Amino acid sequence: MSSFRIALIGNANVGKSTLFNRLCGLKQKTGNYPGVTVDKKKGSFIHDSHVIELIDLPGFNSLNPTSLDEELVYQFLMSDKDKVDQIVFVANALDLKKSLYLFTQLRDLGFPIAVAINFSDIASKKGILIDANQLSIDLGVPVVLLSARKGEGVETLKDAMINVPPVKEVDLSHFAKPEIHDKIKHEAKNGENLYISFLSLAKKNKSYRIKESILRYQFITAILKNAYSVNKDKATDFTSKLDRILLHQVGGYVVLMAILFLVFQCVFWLATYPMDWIDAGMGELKDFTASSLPQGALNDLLVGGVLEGLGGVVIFIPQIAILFFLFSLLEESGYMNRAVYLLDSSMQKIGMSGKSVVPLVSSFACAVPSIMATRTIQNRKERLITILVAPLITCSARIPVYTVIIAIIIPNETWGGFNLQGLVLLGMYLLGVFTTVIAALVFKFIIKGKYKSFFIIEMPDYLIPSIGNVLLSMWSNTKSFVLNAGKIIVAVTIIIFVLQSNGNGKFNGVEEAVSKRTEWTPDQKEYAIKTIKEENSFLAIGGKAIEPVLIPLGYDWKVGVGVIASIAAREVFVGTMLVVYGDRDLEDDLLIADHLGQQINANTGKRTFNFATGISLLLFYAFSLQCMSTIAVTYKETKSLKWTSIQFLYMTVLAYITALIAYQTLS
Amino acid sequence: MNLLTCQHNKPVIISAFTDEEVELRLHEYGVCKGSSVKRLSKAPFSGPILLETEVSKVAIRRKHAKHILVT
Repeated sequence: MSSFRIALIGNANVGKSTLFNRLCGLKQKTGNYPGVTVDKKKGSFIHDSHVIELIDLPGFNSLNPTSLDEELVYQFLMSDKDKVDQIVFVANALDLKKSLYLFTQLRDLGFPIAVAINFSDIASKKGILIDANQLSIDLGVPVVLLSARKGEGVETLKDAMINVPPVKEVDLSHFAKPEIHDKIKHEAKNGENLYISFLSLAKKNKSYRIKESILRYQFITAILKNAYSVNKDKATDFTSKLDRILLHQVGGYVVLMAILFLVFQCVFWLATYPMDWIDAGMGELKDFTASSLPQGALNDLLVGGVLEGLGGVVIFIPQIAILFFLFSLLEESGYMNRAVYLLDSSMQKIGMSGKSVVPLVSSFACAVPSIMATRTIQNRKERLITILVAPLITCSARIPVYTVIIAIIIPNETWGGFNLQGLVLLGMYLLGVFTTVIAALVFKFIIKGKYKSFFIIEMPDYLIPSIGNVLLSMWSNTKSFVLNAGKIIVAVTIIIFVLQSNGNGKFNGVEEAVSKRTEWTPDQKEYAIKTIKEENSFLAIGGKAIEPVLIPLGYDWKVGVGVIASIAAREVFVGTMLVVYGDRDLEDDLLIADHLGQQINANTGKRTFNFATGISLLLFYAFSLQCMSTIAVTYKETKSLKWTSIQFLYMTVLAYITALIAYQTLS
Repeated sequence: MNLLTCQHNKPVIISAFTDEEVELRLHEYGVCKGSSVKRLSKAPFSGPILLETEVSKVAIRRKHAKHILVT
């Protein structure tokens, strides 16, 4: 059984990921927004006794990379380590001329190629006729017409993939004027590919690239004369009609705001029901586990540590899943590019690009995929600013912290017909957006741009989203969130639980010491044991060590433990508070709020979560970078310890100062 | 006359580029000297312009559009 290593390559929006799913059946992100495939994905399948390993790469336009995702593909193709046996080039039937530009470059690099022309069903409806046989003869490679969404032509493509002919010699006249042919041959050392030699020459002389594109388009135009035609009588332009509304100078913005409003309504309203079911289910699971296992350390660890931590993650699955589902619908339909077009000028004024819109909107779910999605932004400065400010947007991990604190400090009353707690929650979202704008403006003046900014974005035809792709996208993103956040939360909760369940000498000897107090009632003994253990656990010792820094913000050591523990992930705060304040059976937000609302600060004698400390905590969590995954992904994407540190420091300082001012003013 | 000042919704022919980077990037989208293009709309607040090229629709910023001379 022979095996092939094949790369799936093409421009953005040509349906590579959809074809990848069709061929490999793997669950991975697909979409109609450039850059959805933010990293290379692998899959494999067997066809006619051949094992085919397939690699899905981000879409790009030419072998002249301008953004990080394009750079990734370029490096991958040039790397000897990752060398692929051949390429399946996915072309767009609706934009064949542009697709073939990249194809000719890849062919000249010396890769054996099979061409898959996607969207052939839509092209046919638009009156576009493509003669695949003629094209195959003219290009010298197998050409297959297909519809990846419907699965049409996929089997023919599989046959073509295992029968790709050997590469012909590179024809210099396809990309270089005769006067530089000798120069290219001279540059090629040790039998190096002539096009690679040309690329290194063209790096020094931009006019070579311009001449290359003119020559390539002359070649492509000549070929398409024989194999491509448009019957204008059959052509319909639904996209142009819809764009007249969706890109209208006024109507376009009204529709955009309405769509964003609807997305958030769905996320918060629709998610309520499954969240209640999960809440009840987790309560049942904890009761069942507590009653099934013998009382003791293992029972406490599982119920109070592991399940407590898990509950804090799974409760958010509905919100995250709905958000990703709706974003995926917008991406698949082609609308995201219209949002980029409408918002580019506003974003430029604050140092970002229209392409920053998608990452920033994704930040409402989670900053991690959002920062990865900035790879499509070509300009380094615009990309860096987007990365630095994205974590200020209110992500879903802040929701449990906000919900519980707001429920403690804001009365559940109506104000002007609106629920007061809901208004404060909305205010926190608006605060996140406002701070993002201010921070971006500040960075716009601080960061010096090294590269010239160039913005160009293609407007793909509107497509009816494939529900299968949308669901696959939702599944893979939600799974990734739950697994990544879940690991951290469960680990931190267990560590907190262990630190609280162990302590110094007083902690360990408290039962024996109290048992000698014969004059005390059983209730007094139980209270004494609980208090002494609480004060002498390793958790308390650590918490008290950091208390001096937190007292000015209105927090005692117990809240401090929550703040420190949630450096790993914000959503750890509520679970940690429940472990620290000793009631692990509460699940409902209102019950948690009631329980926490009754706690007394040992330093002040006042309620721990009063109005001043509540506002202080809300501001602290609005601005602080309490998320290890975000810190890690910022470092991965910027490859800079400096910018990763700057992001962490500016957000921490902002959080501390605003929380300090709020507490000192309100207390 | 450049793409910013040309008539809206009327096909025009690109006669020259006054910036190499703009020329190179647009070539990748199939827009070369001699290509026919149509300016479909301008986004408000000095936003990008939407072009219909022979093969697709692309949006570019105004500062780049002024480097595309048309007749």
